[in-house]
Amino acid sequence: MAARAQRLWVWLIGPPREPAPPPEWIFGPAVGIVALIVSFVLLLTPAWILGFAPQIVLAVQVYEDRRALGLSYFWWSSAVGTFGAIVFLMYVQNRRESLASIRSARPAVAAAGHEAGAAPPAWYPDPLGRARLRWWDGGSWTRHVHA
Amino acid sequence: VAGEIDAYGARARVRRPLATVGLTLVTLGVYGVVWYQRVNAELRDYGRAYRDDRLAASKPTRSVLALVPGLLLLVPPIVSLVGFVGRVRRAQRYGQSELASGWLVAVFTISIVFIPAVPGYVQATLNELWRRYPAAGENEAPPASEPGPEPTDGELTSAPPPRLAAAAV
Repeated sequence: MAARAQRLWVWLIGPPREPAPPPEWIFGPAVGIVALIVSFVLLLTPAWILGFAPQIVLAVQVYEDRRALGLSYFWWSSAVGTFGAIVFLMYVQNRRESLASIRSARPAVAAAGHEAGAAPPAWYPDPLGRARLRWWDGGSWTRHVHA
Repeated sequence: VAGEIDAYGARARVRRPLATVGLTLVTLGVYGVVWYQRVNAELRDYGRAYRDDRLAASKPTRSVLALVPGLLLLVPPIVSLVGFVGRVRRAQRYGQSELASGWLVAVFTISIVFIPAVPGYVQATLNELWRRYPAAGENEAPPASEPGPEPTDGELTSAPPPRLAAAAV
């Protein structure tokens, strides 16, 4: 039953594909501002329903972007799809800050006496070669070993 | 997937974001308040682990009081929420994780209907941070070890630190 449903899903949607990141220029503030103006103008016309088209397009771009970045996509793509270009502008700003945070070379402060991002306390291959594993307490090697 | 992590001694919980939304709705907001207290406590402990005075000095109980009776005065929950998102972002910067958006939290809050989405969204961003740390219990005190040739203190200190795979950080 599950396999049949999966086959039907693949027939409807197509096979799974690699995430395709949208071009970087889409995440410029100008795109959000243009989408906001276009939506607003369209909502004043008899073809008002088309005013929702830009936010759907932007929501898809956000979905593709976050999928390509390996980040959870539910909240932002839903929020852009629901609230439109204003939330897209918020996403643009948050994306810039978040990428800077994720790609920052080194956290600002050391954690509990060790470098944040350094190896956490755990068993690691013994650098002295006297056992298979030796306990690293987060700051230095200890005498605890695993044969 | 829910589970507890250990960030240099600070315990925090990875929760299912949609479950926090569902529980907040089902309990008419009570779970949201409990979640707020717990996450504030986790951030405080995380701040202690990272020796961050601003995070470590936060008071989860006071945050909850600002939310529940404070709602009658309107201003305290807003101040508390702004401070809370600031602390979340501060913690996320330590973990080099994606940052929560205060603006999106504001949009959810102002729209009123979407207020239950706030714990879901914030928890989703916090999960990204917590997943950078090992699960609690995985790396606790070492179990009984095989007696091996005792290395000298000099050997232990001069040995190179472990090299960590990028995904494990």
